[in-house]
Amino acid sequence: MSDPDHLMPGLIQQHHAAILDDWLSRLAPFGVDLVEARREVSSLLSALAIVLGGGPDAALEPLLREASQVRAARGQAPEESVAFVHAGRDALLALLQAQAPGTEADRSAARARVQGVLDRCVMVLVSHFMSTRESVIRSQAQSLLDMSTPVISLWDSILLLPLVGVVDSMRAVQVAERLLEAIGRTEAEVTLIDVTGVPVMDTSVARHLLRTVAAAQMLGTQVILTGISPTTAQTMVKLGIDLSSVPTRGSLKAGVALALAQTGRAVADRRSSSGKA
Amino acid sequence: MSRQSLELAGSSDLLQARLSARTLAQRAGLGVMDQTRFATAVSELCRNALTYAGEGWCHLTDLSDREQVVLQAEVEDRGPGIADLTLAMTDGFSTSGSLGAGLPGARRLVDDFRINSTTGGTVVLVRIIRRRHAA
Amino acid sequence: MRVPLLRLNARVLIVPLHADVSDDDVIGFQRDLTERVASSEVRGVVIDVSALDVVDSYMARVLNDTARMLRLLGSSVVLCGVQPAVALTLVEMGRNLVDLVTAFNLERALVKLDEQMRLADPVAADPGDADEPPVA
Repeated sequence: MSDPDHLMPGLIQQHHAAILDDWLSRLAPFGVDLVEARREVSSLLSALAIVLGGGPDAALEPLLREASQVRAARGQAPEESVAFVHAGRDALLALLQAQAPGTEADRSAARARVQGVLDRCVMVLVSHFMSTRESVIRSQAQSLLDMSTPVISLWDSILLLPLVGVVDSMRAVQVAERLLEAIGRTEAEVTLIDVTGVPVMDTSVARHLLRTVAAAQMLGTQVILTGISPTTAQTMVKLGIDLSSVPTRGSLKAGVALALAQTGRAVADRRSSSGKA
Repeated sequence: MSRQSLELAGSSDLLQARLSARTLAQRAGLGVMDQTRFATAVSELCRNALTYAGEGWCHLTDLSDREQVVLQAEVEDRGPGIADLTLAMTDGFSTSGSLGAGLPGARRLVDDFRINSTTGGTVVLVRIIRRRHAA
Repeated sequence: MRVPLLRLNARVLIVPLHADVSDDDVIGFQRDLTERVASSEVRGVVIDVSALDVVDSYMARVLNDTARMLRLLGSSVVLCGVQPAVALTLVEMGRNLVDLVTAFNLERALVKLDEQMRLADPVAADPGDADEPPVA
């Protein structure tokens, strides 16, 4: 009479190589690198023997985590992870059917255990897969954000920050942090903040803008705001926004000219005979 | 989860609290900006306890998990309590320099802010929460 | 540790606040500085906060108040070395530094101080700290 805790481990130990071959052959249609997979499957099989013998799931965890990370990093679809585990399940069940150890009741219990454990494997694999992918997506989103928040150095002592798509608080804070770090690092005499690219100047955006300006001034740079459209100007006045401490210019061009003047420079047109600012 | 408790008895403890808060934030993986927010909020809370109760405790805990960084500061004292919490949390009141001063400012730096104040003492609990990004 | 009042020349003081400045040091600093300005020829002060990585609302108030006191006593004031994270935290708290001329570092602070002192007292003798005309 075989004891349920020993049935599957016993089978796996006796037929390790055969299960391995069967599992791998079921993976072949997926174009898997069988040499690499052999090593992975072999480790998993040994760990499965422990868990199917009543051992803790923790024996499988690290292997499953690694398996899913590898697949997620390769950009594989989650279905492949599921197929990977099902191939193992099917191989084990086939062996159980073929060898038919113990009584029908024993085999029934063993089948249920195999299903249960391997189902849990699928869940763990897929959930690890999903969170790895989510991390990748978030870091890609962060990179996109980084790329769309350029802080540009114009000459040695003038910084230009074109505010693009500042639509929510989180973005506004990120932009402020980047700008202030850049100002602190470059010790820019003048910082141009261009708001042409801000779609809607509402109270929230305006408040963030004012805070960013105040913080920048606290560091010691002179701020010039440019790109204020007539609509934005109307909104700002209606919202009671006080920008009296900040020079503003309608166009970036005018803002740059002012910045240059403030740093003792001017733009000269070399084509004409007389210099032109 | 790691928890650090600092006794507040004198103004040198304020410095220690700020330093510990910053170190905790740094070790948890937060950048300079967030480290400063956390350390400043802790400074406000501890200063409040010291000024109006003369004593207190500051408990700093890292509650982070794989998804997000969570830093918690809990400052408690057995002082006279803030009689009118709603009033204390308004800005005009706080700038007068009296009991509760600095709390509205601290509140703006953190994501969670809870306060419980009775005549037996005050407990202020704040958290900074940031989602993680993969490297 | 007491906050030192460093004499650049007869008319200018440089006051560096150190990283572990305590509340007592801060109160002492305000008192010492105002007394010194009131009783001497000092007409310009640079307060250097570059060592401070945390400025809470109390410290912000002391800085604002000190600057106001100094101006009442006839001295110009420039603050230098505010760290970016400190500046952002202050505005987020709603505790801006008010009406304070600021500069990135000591060198530029002295240039701005010179301008402030000239504005305040155009007739006065050479402030003594600038060998060249102020540069923007």
